[in-house]
Amino acid sequence: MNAALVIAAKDLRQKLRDRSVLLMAVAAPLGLAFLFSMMIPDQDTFHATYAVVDLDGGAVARGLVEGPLAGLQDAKVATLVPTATEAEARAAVKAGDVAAAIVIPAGFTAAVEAGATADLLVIGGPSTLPAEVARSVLAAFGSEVTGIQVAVHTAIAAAGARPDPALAAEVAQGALAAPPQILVAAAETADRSAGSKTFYGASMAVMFVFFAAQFGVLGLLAERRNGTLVRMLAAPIAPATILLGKVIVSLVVAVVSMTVIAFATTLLLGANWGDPLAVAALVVAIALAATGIATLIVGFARTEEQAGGFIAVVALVLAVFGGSFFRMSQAPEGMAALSILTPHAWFLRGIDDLSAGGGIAAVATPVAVLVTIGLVTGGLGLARARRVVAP
Amino acid sequence: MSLSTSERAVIPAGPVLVCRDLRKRYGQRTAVDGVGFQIAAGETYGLLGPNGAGKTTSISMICGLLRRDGGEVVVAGRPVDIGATGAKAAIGYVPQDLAIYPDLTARENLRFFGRLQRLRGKELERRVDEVLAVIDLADRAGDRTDRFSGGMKRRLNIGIGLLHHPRLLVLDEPTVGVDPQSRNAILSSVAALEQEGMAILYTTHYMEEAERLCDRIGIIDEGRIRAEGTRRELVALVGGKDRVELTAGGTTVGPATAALRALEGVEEATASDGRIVLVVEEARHLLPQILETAAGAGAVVRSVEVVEPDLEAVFLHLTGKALRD
Repeated sequence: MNAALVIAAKDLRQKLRDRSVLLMAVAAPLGLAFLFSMMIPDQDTFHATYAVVDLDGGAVARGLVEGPLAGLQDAKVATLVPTATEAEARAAVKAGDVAAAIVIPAGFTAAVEAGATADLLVIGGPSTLPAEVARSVLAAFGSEVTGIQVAVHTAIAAAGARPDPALAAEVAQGALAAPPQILVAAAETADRSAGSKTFYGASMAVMFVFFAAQFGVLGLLAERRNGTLVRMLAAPIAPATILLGKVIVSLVVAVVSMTVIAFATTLLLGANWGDPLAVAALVVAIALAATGIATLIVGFARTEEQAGGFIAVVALVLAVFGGSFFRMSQAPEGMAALSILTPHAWFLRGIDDLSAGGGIAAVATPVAVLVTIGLVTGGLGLARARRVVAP
Repeated sequence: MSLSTSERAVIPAGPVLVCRDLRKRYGQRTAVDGVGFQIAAGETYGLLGPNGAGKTTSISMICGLLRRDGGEVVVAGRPVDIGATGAKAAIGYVPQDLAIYPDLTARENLRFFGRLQRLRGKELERRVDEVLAVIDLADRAGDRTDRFSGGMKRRLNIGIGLLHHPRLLVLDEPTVGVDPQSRNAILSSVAALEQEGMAILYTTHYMEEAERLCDRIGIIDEGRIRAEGTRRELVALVGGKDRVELTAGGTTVGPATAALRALEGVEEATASDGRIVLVVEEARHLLPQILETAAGAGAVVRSVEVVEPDLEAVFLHLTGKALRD
């Protein structure tokens, strides 16, 4: 073990001097995580500020402001800024102080109560998404109001009474104020997926950890090419010690790569990887899996170049099928099913669970699967790699 | 290049290396076929043969780097077996190809291989400093080796093999591709190590190196040792005689030639154009008498050249082909 650590320490010293390791293990995944999280906004964290101009002040207008719009604010999806005039609202949108403005014109309540057409105005800014969200909310409110109008008039007509506008308005206001009778249960289908910054931080980290893990075991073939392997074999150490030293290097580089990316995306992007202890368990497990697969490939390769090429292909294929580039929830059904064969999918599943507030117990299955992958592939790889050091 | 006094005190008598009947086959091809020899402390044994003769395969089996099909190797009293590390600690192996890390400094290279040889702490640092001095790289110890000249790399390659005071130093063609100056320095260093009591196994296909360095030489070809012995013993195998050429002045060379022909040990003496050519058994032993006899016969000897039969001739005689074929 002592000689294995001596070999590992020497290799790590060499890797630190080799900037390509820093590029592949840290800079590239971190850069891509930044890029992807900027290009693809996090839908779970949508938020917009709206100017709300209530020129009506009537009951239905209040129902809109205190109902659906206040609901957006309560859900932390929107911030409402009461504004006195339409001109002020337009100026705020133009200045970028608000993402969009919602204008309730004077006479809105009266028009609704009279069963006439009532208009609502949405003033959009440069980004279309906040205005679209506002239009959707107002359209839903309009549908609700229309439904109530129809119901009230139908009830009055059925009672045989003469239409009484005051009564109809009173009944309609009561209906608007009443809580909805049908609630869509959300608890069971709550989205457990991590935010985009966490997702892309983790997905890029897991993709590049396979490149990081190659540096140790690939060193075995480099030693053979450089002629230094024969000198190591001439030393009074067991040949397996050399293999162990290389595996230690792969594990260390992989763990350091993942850890740096987790810290960097947390501090710089605000990613939320979850419980540190559970994250550490996942990181060690994926490092083991990546090292095992890299060892298996090296075991079958004849040269460094061949092994490096195989590892690159395997890393990219696993990344595509494992969900490193897009969430598996957006993938075709068959592909999502296939993803469970990849370490990436298990790792990202663990990160999703941790982002949703889970602890070490939540990642027990992903950790167990990843460790199993690492031990099986690593064991087979070491058995094959023994031929490199066998006398 | 010299070792410390304490190193010399631990050298025991008896053979440091004993190898018997080494055999190795690759498929249908026999690479080594019954190779065996011994090397004592303070002795340099040369394996002389052309490329592909089985030299590297033999020393790979001796160093435990290659599984042998048959035979036995004992170094410093310990058998060299697969998986056994005890005997390896007594061997300093210097491979034919450079085996150093170009991105590490000379000191880092030495430290790393020293640690693999179980050297630690102050002892390691002391030995690294000593070896750096021995290979004359102390002033370049902190430089990366990819900035070294070929000769400097070769010296470091040898120095790594010396770190742990090996009882047996195995040098596999250490001067291949080396410039004449560095080659001469390497050969001088090896000679000095022998003087300090190290047993040295030296493989080469350069006849001059074997003649200069080796106390005994094994001539190897096609995996078999064809002959073994001192240089003189090998030459004697083919009936080789020394030739002595005298350039004389003063009087005519006729009387001197006749006098020399009568000298015991001189088998043949001829004269032409002021030169006397003798064929003798032991030129180096007989030379004083030859000069005395020539002077007594009135010849003024201006120059003497002794031409001994070389290993090239022996190799040609034994194998039917030239050494560098």
